Amino acid sequence: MSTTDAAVRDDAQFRGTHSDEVLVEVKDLKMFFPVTEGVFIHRVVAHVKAVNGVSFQIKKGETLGLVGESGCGKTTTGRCMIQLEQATSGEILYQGTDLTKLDSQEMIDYRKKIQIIFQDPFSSLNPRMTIGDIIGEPMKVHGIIDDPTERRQRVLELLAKCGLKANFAERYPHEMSGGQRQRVGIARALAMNPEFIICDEAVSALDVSIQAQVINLLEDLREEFGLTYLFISHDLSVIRHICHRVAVMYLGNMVELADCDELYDNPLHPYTQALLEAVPIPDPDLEKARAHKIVKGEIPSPMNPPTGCVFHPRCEKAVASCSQNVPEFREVKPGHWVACTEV
Amino acid sequence: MATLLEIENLQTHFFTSAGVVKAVDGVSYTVDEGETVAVVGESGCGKSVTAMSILRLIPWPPGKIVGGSIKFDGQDLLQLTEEEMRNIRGRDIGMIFQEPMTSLNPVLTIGLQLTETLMAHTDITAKKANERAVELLGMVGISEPERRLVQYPHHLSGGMRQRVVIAMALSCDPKLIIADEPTTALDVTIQAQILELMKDLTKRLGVAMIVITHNLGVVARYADRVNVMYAGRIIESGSAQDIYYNPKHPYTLALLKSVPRMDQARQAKLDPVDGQPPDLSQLDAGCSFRARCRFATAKCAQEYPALEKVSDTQYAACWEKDNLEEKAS
Repeated sequence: MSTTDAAVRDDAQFRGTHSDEVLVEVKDLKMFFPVTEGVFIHRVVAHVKAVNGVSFQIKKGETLGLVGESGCGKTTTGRCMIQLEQATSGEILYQGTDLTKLDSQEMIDYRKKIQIIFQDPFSSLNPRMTIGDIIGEPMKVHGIIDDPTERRQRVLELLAKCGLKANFAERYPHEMSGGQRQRVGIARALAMNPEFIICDEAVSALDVSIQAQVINLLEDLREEFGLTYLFISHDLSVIRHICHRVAVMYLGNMVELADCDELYDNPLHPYTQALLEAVPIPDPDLEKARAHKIVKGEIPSPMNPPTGCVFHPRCEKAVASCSQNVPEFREVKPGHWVACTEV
Repeated sequence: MATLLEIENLQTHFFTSAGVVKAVDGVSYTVDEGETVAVVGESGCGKSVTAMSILRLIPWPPGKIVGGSIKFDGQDLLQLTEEEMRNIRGRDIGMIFQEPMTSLNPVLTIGLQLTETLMAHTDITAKKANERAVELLGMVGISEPERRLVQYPHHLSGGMRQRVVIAMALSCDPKLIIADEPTTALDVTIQAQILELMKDLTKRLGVAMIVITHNLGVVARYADRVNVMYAGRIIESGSAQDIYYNPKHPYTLALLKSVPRMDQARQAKLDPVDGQPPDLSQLDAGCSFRARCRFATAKCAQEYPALEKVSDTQYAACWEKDNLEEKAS
């Protein structure tokens, strides 16, 4: 088979994997962290509006990318979805059930279905546990496999799935490289046979050649187990490669949401345009030809976000009304949502 | 252009209880005046150790420069006394580190840190040094520079701090700036601002720069020449065009195939190299990449290939460099 045939086949597989069934729906999610003052009596003096009214859907089998710069609220959104943070307001519907309304006992069922892979493979694994125990523990806690021998068998199977040798089960995290640790994190997430995995900067700490291996592993697992991913990353190139749809966040707000190719080929929000412009492309001639319009200024503090559109102080296309009116997040084309009045 | 820096067969080894780690093992490259040279590679390939060796900042024990020479502006830096070396660091060679929070002193004001370099290296009064500090902060695009002088690093954002570090590196009109992952800790829009600033200032002031990075996009945008490092050696070097469009080493080829591209719709799965970089304390006589290389032959296990000329501008260290194109297709 020639490479083009393989590419076409892979592409068809990639696009055809998701259905129309909505697996997760986030409605008007808000997460405000209180800022307190005082030594004995903590007075709330302000709120950090980490996530300020975000709504989106994730379809079964789909990979939704959540992209933005530090402090935009993408990680907080992910943590709220798995109830690691108690959202201030809003709904998180998992197959119709609002997770924010469940008590911790009822949540246990959903903890099996929803898993998370963290960014830092150095701090997300317990340094005093062997790899075998790290992967086996969730199965023990949730009572999925009670028999130690069977559990051991399953651990070895998961290690093999994630491209690790069986003798890794006896090792400790410090004996492994970053890429291998990230594979352990993935194996641990898979241990529960999840439906939905939140990948929070799962490949960001890895070197390029290792990063590509882990990306391919995540894609293989998606196909094999019909997984749905929320892929949180700041790396726009990785997002374009792995995601079906992409949502762009800025300062706690969602500014644009569209199909992957549509977003990259036809970005509508000035912030998305600025982001795409800022990313250098590994192609020297192309880089010489690009205009390199660089957005001015820095991201304001989420404690005191700008009024109106949060991007207006840095926006080239801002008009007077942008500083007063909060732009509505609207569908301008089928499937292409944007929060900007000037589009 | 005259050659400013000439590194010849540099060897920096670390003597640890687990054996001798050959972090840099025979690296040679040159930097011309006013030129931007990129050093690319993955973690542990020795790119930062090479830079630290130029400034002789390798901590002993365990690290030591065991061989080679580093000619900077006509003198061999490895032959200088510590006293003479101190006059070069910060004056003739400026340094920009990755993490601006740890490279600035948190308990000293911005003004003090900026003027300290000036006062140490030049005959300048405190008043003049302050004026120069204000001028430098303005040059790197920091608003209200007078007010910033009395502020501390924690008052500033990551991007601002990196601007201060750039101002410090430029303060004594250096001939060369070494930037070690200068934008890795920053967000993309801030990264673009900082890189544009560095490019603009180095071009305007005629400063040569060594940029150490793992980001192939940054290299494509800013570098005149590129050195690719793997396991303590340079395995390929050439112009940016040579490296990106006509790579002659299997590792360079694999690196380029490993990065997803933002400007192209998804074509197929990524095609990464298998395995991991080798343990630098266990290297043998053969090519250090051969275990991961899909073009490896019997010869690769016996002898390390020298960095040989492929064209006027390009060099590669691979026995199969001439057959690579044919084999890859």
